[in-house]
Amino acid sequence: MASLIAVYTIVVAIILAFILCAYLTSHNYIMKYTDNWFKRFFAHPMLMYSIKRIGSALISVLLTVVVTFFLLRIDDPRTVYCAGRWIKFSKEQQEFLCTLKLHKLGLDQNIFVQLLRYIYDVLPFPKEVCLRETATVNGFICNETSYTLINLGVSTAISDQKPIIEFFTETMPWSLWIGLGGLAIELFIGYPMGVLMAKYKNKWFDKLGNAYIILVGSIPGLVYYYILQALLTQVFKLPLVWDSNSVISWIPEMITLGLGGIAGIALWVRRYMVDEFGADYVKFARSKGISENVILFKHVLRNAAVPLVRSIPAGVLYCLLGSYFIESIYAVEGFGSLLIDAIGKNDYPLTQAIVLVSALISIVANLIGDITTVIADPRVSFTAKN
Amino acid sequence: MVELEKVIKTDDESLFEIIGGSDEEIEKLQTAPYSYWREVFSTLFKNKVALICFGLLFVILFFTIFGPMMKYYRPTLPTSEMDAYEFISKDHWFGTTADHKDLWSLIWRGSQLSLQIAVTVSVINAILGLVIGSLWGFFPKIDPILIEIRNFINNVPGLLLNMMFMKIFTVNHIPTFLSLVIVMTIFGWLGLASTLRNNIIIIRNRDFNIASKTLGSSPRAIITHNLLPFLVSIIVTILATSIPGVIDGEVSLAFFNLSFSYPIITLGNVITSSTSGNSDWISHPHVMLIPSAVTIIMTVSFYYIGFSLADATDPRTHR
Repeated sequence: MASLIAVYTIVVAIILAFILCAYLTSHNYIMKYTDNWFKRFFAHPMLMYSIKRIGSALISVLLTVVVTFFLLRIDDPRTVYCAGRWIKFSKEQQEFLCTLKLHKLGLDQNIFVQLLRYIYDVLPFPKEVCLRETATVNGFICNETSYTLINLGVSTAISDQKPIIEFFTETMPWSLWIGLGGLAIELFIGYPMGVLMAKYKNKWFDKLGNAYIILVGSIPGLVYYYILQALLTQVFKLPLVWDSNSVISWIPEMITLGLGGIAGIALWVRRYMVDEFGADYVKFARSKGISENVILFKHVLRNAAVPLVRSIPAGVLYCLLGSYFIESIYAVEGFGSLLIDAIGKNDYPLTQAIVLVSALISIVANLIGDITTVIADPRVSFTAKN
Repeated sequence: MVELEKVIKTDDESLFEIIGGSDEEIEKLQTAPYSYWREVFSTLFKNKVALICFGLLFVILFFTIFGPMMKYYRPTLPTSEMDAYEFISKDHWFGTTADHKDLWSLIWRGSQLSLQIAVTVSVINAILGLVIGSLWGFFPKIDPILIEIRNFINNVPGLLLNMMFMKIFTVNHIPTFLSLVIVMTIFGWLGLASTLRNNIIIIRNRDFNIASKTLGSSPRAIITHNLLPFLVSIIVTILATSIPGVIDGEVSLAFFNLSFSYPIITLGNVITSSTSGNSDWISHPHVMLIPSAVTIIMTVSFYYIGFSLADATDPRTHR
């Protein structure tokens, strides 16, 4: 415990010192006339920008957590947490256990006290947490305690007393693998497709690609997933249901995920490339007599790679969250189907944890996207305007 | 080239002929007066694929209204009346489903309700999106609130919000149609509003706007006369693609049992019940393919018409 607290204090101190250094150097309070690596690093506009972004993003996360907290507390907790439990006990004991359980979860308190308790649990600092508990006639007995930074709580409905972290570690890898497969298909087909569509603009390939984009954009997602499922399982004889052991059964999910994404990427790349083809530097290169292929591969393609670089890290992170429809159609035990399960079975701590994690992931993904854009594109910089 | 110069240099009067003039002729305009919307529709109707889409939509609408009148089996009929998985036949024009129901009746009844939902939701979203989006773009002071709302929507899984709201509505016994419309409009305007806001910010400080501001135009006049006509192409695209979007949304909600429940029928209902766990749709694909085909024709036509309208309304392609 002591070591955890010590390490935690050191880490927090380092982070605070880092922010302080960045603030002081970027506002020229210290090291005004020096130009060493320290100054160059901490006075980089990107650093202060990222810190500000993280700060405002954390406010968004807090808002998200609070709103979902109130949304989830609309139902009566007594029906949610106690109905059909402890059947072997007598009626009075059930009542007692229910009251006790609500007391243990803190649900018998004022809702604002509960909110503060939840925020206390979620805020990262060392606190004592009960890992396993058993219900007896005399109440709950804590068998195992430990110190953790973030207490996401335990599941209350899907599988009683199972720590929520375990749900995440079980489901996220499957979502990630399937998502990565889909992302690979998207990029390796969608990107060349967009490039070719822009190169042969208004030719048959462009028209075909546009038709595909319109089809994917307009067909209801579910209909498209079902048709693809029928096609893949009947014509190509791929397995109908996902199985964690056979890699072949992951292919339909990846293809379904990827084929939808191709349209988005192709549309994006095409639009960007068409814009670039109209730019002055391309006109100048043409007037010098440089061949179209050299213009394409040497100039335009490099510029068109910038939005791609931006989207890849975010795309990988979003893979963790999975897809509700694909995962429930193919019965994948992934993150998307976990959310459906959690909401369907009124597992509120789990739902709340999922919301928190997805909000954090989307914020981190956006931030990483911005930072990679700055690294990849020399035209973008965060130098102050004044 | 040389011959041409010769002709010009000779200045030969015999090459010209006076044909006379009349005052009436002078008053007439050589070209028809320019009308923006007439131009839009003439461009639109030159597009053959868009015309086909209009035709398909017309067919779908015709059957949506008159289909159940031609042949109709009530969905509440006892199961013994019909066989399951019957293929297209004289009695059942689209075959029958796993639950012993006539698909023809189901599909057109369903598309009636789905189209009603789609049109209602799109109209409400359009009005909300236009009003909020133009205010949002024009008055930067309300930026923080709306940006926070947008962040919230981006952060929270949409499914969670839909499920929570539907749960609240069913507990309070609000009619399903109303609750579906509320669920799809409560944050549905956000897409149009934020696109509009981004584009208004781009053109807000152009010279023509500053000119009318200094001339003392009210914000309302600037928004309705200067800004929105400039963005009509973007607005039309979003509006036209919102109808297929709502149909899609209804299908998704039906997948999670959040839409109408039997015996009230929507398209989403038909598709999800035909593919539900106890249905053997893989070996009788028509049960799923026919309702899907109707939905696809509907959404693709709306979507394509939307895109051609966007091309036609784009001010850059005019004149």
